[in-house]
Amino acid sequence: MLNFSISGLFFAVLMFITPILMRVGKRFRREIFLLLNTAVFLLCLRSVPALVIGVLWILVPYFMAPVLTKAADESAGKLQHILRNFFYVLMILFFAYLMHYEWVPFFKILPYSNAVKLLGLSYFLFREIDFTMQYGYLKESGVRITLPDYLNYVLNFYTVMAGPILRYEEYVTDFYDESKEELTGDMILHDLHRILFGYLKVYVVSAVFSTWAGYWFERVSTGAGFFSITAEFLLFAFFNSFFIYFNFSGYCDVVTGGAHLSGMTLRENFNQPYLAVSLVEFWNRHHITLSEWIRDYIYSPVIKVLISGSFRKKLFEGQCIALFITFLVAGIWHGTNFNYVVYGLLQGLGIVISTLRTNHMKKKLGKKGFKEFQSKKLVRIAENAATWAYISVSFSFVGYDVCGLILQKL
Amino acid sequence: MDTKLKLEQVFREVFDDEEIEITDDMTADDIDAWDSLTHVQLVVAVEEAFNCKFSTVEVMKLKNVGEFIKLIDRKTGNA
Repeated sequence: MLNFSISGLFFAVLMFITPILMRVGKRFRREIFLLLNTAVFLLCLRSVPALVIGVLWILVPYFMAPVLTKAADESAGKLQHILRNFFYVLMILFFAYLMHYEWVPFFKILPYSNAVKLLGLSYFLFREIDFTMQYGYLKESGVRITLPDYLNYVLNFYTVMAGPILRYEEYVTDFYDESKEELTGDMILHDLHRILFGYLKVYVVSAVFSTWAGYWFERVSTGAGFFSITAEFLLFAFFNSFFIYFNFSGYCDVVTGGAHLSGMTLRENFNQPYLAVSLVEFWNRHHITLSEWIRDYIYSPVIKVLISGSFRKKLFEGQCIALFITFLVAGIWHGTNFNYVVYGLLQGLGIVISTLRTNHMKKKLGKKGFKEFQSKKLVRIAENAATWAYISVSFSFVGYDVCGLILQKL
Repeated sequence: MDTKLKLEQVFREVFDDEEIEITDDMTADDIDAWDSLTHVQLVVAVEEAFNCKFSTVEVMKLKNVGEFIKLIDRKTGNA
């Protein structure tokens, strides 16, 4: 089994040959890309059952999309609506089973082997949901839908590891965009520079922060005294948040630069997130494509159900509940152990508190007054520091067993 | 009543502003209070006012008021 990551030799070879192959065989670039994507998918499989699961996981949504779209139509019967919802529930349950969430006791009873794990399982799910939900719209708008294009969209080796999450329409429109400028020497240089910069961010800058975070985490584990432990924990949390930012944004630089050399544009996933002055703004600047995906497919449907039902007269409460659910789910999705549940709870709680505060301040100062208050330099610095601190503390549950550490300390 | 006029009424109620005048190319950027919450609020209010239902994707794809009017007309059979 191939260990596919941006540090691997295989990825480096792909980064080098894909732009050349797709340029030389321009007429067959879709087929060339499909061949490479399929090769990565097959080489990363851990077992034969994984192959069967993987093929079904990818093909079923494609063939079900027209059926699901028909079932969503107003003319469809109630049973069809129920079956459609059932399909999505099954899909999410099966996803949870494949992810094997450690804190769900039910999954411990079911037979499971690590050998069925698939590379990029979560990202497959995001893209498949986007494709099946948008299918009717795509058909209506005349967007090209073919199996090879769908497979390239889902399996895209540049984005299979950790995004950015493209939408089907966006991917296909970009892939066949003939108005795109031909790659010039300057553009190639720019892309190569971005790739190099990305690698430096991942393997030098973030590696240093990771070492420091690890060092302070160890100090917290072995240290004593409330104040010194708190100070050490905050240092660990800050270094860990730097690590996450440089590691993830560096990865995005590498794949965005690489894809651009092959004639594909990936959406930017980061926009200086640590300049944010609120949690909402942070999520509009960090892993942007995931934030937009959860806004469209979790937050909007949840809030719509709430405010058309029992929260009709309690819009603000409805908004808080929808935000909490959205961020809790997004947090849980990030990883399989209980630390990610705490991370999700903290994100949900933080967003709700931040929304309550904004609402309170707007009432107290008026909309105009609140805007003026927020534009003050000192206020911006304080809000930025508070956002950063909150994000860092909640991010400390990502990648480290902070729950275990807390239990040990207690 | 004309779809546009009726929609304008819904906008005024949702944004609590009697002076709003909608135009076809108006977008969320033109109204300060138009965020992801008020967007869904608008959709729910329009569903009630025009007695129709919109899907998640239809809601997501709305780019301006003109598109909203077209969608309402299509749903209510006015198109």
